[in-house]
Amino acid sequence: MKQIELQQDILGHNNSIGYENSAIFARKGIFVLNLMSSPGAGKTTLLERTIDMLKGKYQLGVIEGDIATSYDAERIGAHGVEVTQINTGGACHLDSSMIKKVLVNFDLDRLDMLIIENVGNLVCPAEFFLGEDAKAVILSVTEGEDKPLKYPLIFRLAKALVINKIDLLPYIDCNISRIIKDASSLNPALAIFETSCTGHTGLNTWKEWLEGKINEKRKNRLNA
Amino acid sequence: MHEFGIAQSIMQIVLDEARKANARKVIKVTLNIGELAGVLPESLSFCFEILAKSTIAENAALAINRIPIRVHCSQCEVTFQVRDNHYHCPRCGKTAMEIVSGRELQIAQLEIDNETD
Repeated sequence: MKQIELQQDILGHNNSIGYENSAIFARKGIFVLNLMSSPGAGKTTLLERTIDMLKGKYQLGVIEGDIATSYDAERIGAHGVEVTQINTGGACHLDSSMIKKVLVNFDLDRLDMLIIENVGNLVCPAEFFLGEDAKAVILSVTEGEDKPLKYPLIFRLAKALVINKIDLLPYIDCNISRIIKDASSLNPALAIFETSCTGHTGLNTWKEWLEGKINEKRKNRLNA
Repeated sequence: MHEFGIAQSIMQIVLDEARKANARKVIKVTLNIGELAGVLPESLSFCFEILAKSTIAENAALAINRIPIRVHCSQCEVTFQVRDNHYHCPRCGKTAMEIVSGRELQIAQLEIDNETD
């Protein structure tokens, strides 16, 4: 009988490939956003609005993560940006090696921002670092105000929270100030946006936040 | 939800390490799982048991240490345990951001039967 002390991180392999990805993004000055939410919160629609607002000014690329189908990639592709679909074939999250594998599909020298739309899920994607600069969570008001405290990790790690579908507030029982209060209590630095992607409201501050991040990343590359 | 994938990673590390140590059998695997990690211990044990079949880790015991969430307030230099999502520093009342523990997904220790024994 023998005891072996390991203290080995189970996700260590994922993290080290994530850091390899992030070194590539730093060298190229690409701002990378990991977009997460539960299914149906409005990730793809927010993405469509974001692309339409930014595509004239910046070179954008999108990685679409889904368990199956390429519906989302087709929707995004119609907006005239480079898009690659990853089908996880059942896995509930993207991991860093999946991202690394598809980077060859992009012209990284030209790209300003890469948005990764993760698989719809508030639990697992938070655990897997992909090499991104920022995680953003979308929470739609129809999901209920209790979600920040039920899924604390994702709200702790995110840099931005987009509260979506606010046009539905008159019809449902959701206390949006509680979402804001609980999320800020978990993470005071969280940038919070209130939007309706179908009603095209609240999107300007979101766009400005992204532009700030893109420019900051680009400047860091130029200074390097 | 991703316990099966995690269990696969665990099994890979366990079998690699056991082989390196010339193990004939894996007796026990001890994990550190933080309370913030999105992993259900019961589900992880179930997946581990299935994956261990027909390997030298078959019937190995899986022990899971739950690691409490501890955070550090950089202003007050205080480290404290988080209960019920309460991340506020007991001294200044501000939310502490630095996670000291609670996100662990670690293999702490292996117990093996050695060939040379």
